[in-house]
Amino acid sequence: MSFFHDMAGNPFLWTGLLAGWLASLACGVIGPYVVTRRLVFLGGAIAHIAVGGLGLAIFLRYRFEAVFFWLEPLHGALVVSVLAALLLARVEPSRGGQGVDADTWIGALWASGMAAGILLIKLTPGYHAELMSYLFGNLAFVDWPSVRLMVGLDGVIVAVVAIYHKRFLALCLDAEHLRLQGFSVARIHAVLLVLIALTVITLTQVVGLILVIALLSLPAAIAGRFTRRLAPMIALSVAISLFLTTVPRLAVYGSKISPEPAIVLAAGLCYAAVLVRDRWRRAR
Amino acid sequence: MSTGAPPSPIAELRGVSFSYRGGHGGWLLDGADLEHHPGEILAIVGPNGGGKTTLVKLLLGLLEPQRGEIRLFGERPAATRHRAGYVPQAAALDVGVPADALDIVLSGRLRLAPWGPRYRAEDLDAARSALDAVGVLDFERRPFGELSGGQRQRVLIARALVADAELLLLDEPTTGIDPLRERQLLELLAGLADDRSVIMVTHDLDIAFQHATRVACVHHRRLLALPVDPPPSAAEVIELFGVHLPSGAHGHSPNDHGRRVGPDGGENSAPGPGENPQAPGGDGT
Repeated sequence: MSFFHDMAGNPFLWTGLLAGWLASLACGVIGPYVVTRRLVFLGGAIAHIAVGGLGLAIFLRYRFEAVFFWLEPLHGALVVSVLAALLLARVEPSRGGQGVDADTWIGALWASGMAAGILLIKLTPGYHAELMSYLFGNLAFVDWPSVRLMVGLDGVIVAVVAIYHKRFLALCLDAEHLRLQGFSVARIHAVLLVLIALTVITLTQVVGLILVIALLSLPAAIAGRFTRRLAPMIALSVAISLFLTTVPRLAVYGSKISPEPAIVLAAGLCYAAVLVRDRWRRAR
Repeated sequence: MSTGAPPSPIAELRGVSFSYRGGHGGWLLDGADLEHHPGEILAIVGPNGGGKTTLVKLLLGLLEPQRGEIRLFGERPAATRHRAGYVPQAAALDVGVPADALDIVLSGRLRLAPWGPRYRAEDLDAARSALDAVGVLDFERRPFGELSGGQRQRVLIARALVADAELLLLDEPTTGIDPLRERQLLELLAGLADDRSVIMVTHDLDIAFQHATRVACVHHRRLLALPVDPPPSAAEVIELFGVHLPSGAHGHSPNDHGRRVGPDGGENSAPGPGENPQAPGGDGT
């Protein structure tokens, strides 16, 4: 109960909790498409390429301070992750085999993006304490500008999904049939990947770019064990994400355990528990 | 007797050659010609890997031929393929998809539906009518993965029907279906063919010759179309396709049901006395 007691005197507890909820909305809505279309690896690639954007923003702000004094590392991560999504959209799975091996292309961008980020940070003098916050999350110090950015990203994600849901569902069901109806599968796939990039950014301060993949996939995967339709899966995935970003955070408050890995471990344990439950049910 | 011009073909191939190696050898089709007219049920037969499904994908513009010309409804397939309803093998869809039968059928209505998260009442009505037409309305809320093979195939046919397809293209519609369900499905297709054209890929010669108005065989890069009334004799089939049929082929007695062109062009049913158990090999893909 000390968490709620301390909230009155510590505004960062509010913003941390809010950040978790906003991230839950984004990953809860996008996760089911990611899991159904088997884009988890691609989501991981976008998150790691975003490290290149962090490094670029830190480097530009140092080298050209007069111009980029306003630039936050998260802005760089946002731009680079969206660009990465558009690049990765060129290896839409059903087009594999047109000269580029999708797996290799994703792996190359994943490693190169992250390497570029590390290089740019090394080229920037000083110790960059904030970098660790973006790599591993930092729920204890989420500021209001970050919350506002997350609100904006959530707004875009929910609005685009409301418009595109039927197309995304058709893409998940049968991309070839979608193409036969005259739709551009590549364009719809690219829109979905851009939304994944925005979701990655909303998750950055909650679990960090390194662990984004967990919240992008596990709540949706757990939801998929309870329902066999996409719309209820989205609703359940949001609820599970809210649970995962709230309960472990409260549970470890005041202890030496950081909330970010606690959230990821809780997600992993919940998924394992659901798998065990399903196996046990099948065995009976 | 009418003296007017014959109706334009719905689907047309002229000198089509296709290879998965981009034209550098390995031709699957070479100089193929075909015309499919309104009201016809065309069965495309041939060995597995012989190019039947490739032919359908060429007709739909999902593949481009290296040589020749393809027309669908008189235009390039990419421009008109939305008027055709493609029914893949039920196994082509992941049974783990988070969707029920109604969701699957509604996805065939996407082109007619407005933007937004929900389908309109008229789309739902059309989807339910399509499910009803193929006899699986009772399963509209059952997850796709929990349906039987025959039910899944019917759901995919309903998805093709829901957008008022003028041409149905079915890829091995009876694969994995028990004989009773297979007969029901073929009766359903015969009924659907009353007001639309059908092209059906099958490796079952009995289905082809009993239910189609024309049969084309894809084999050894050739595409040969045959009328089924009267059907070719066994000797003609052997001569044309290199496929050996049991004596009395195309007599269509109930007892000879189930003859299938095997993976190599032979038949899966046991050969009779004096029959060649191994027909010439196919091209493979």
